[in-house]
Amino acid sequence: MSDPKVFDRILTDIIRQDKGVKKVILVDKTGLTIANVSKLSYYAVDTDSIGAIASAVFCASEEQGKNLQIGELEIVTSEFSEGKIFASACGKGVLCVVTEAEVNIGLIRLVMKKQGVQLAEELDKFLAVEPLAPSKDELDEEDLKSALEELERV
Amino acid sequence: MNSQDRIQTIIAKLKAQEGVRGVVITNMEGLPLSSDLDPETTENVAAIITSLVGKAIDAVEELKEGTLSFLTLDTTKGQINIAPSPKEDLILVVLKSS
Repeated sequence: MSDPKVFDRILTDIIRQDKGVKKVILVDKTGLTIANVSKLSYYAVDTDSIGAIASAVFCASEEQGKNLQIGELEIVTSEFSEGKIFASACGKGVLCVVTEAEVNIGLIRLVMKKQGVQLAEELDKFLAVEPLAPSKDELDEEDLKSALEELERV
Repeated sequence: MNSQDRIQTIIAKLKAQEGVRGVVITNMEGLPLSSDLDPETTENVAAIITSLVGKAIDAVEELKEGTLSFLTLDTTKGQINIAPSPKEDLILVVLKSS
């Protein structure tokens, strides 16, 4: 399992790339927030709901792409009069970047693609479930049979 | 002649110059409009050069030196010539070999 602090480090790297980036959120595909960083501590937004909506929008677009058979979805860009929201795939998660309206779109796309690869690797480690190896003390078939016989005798 | 044809003519003219490795035309948001390089290199050049141009424009403005008209980067592989036009929302980038 990976160190959750790795996510904060990668998200901080993303937020430092352009002065227009206000918030970076990493969510899983069910919409649960895994990590988030803000440029300004007083930038009050409901991170969980933004992440969940971004994930839902991304997954909906992904579904549309599947129906149209136009390949894998890379980035969803939502442009508003006073800001932009980017959402990109990163393995089992969705990376969401909230920016000001005036931002270098090309750079954001580039950074999201580059860091997305690293985030995908870390997410795989983070979400990996350790396979349960049978312990030596575990009962084998013979033990179970003898226990059953004993029960029948009772 | 439509604008795309005109852009292609300009790129072809520049490409005909000696030592020119590639020409990229991008908007001020870092989205490439036209290029003769492969898509990945084009995206990289457009994004990184636009970011640099943004910082250079800020520096010139801060120093009260008028407006930025041209940028040249001398590298070990050659030169990168950058002609920004914020008014037209365009940046012309020419990569040259030494």
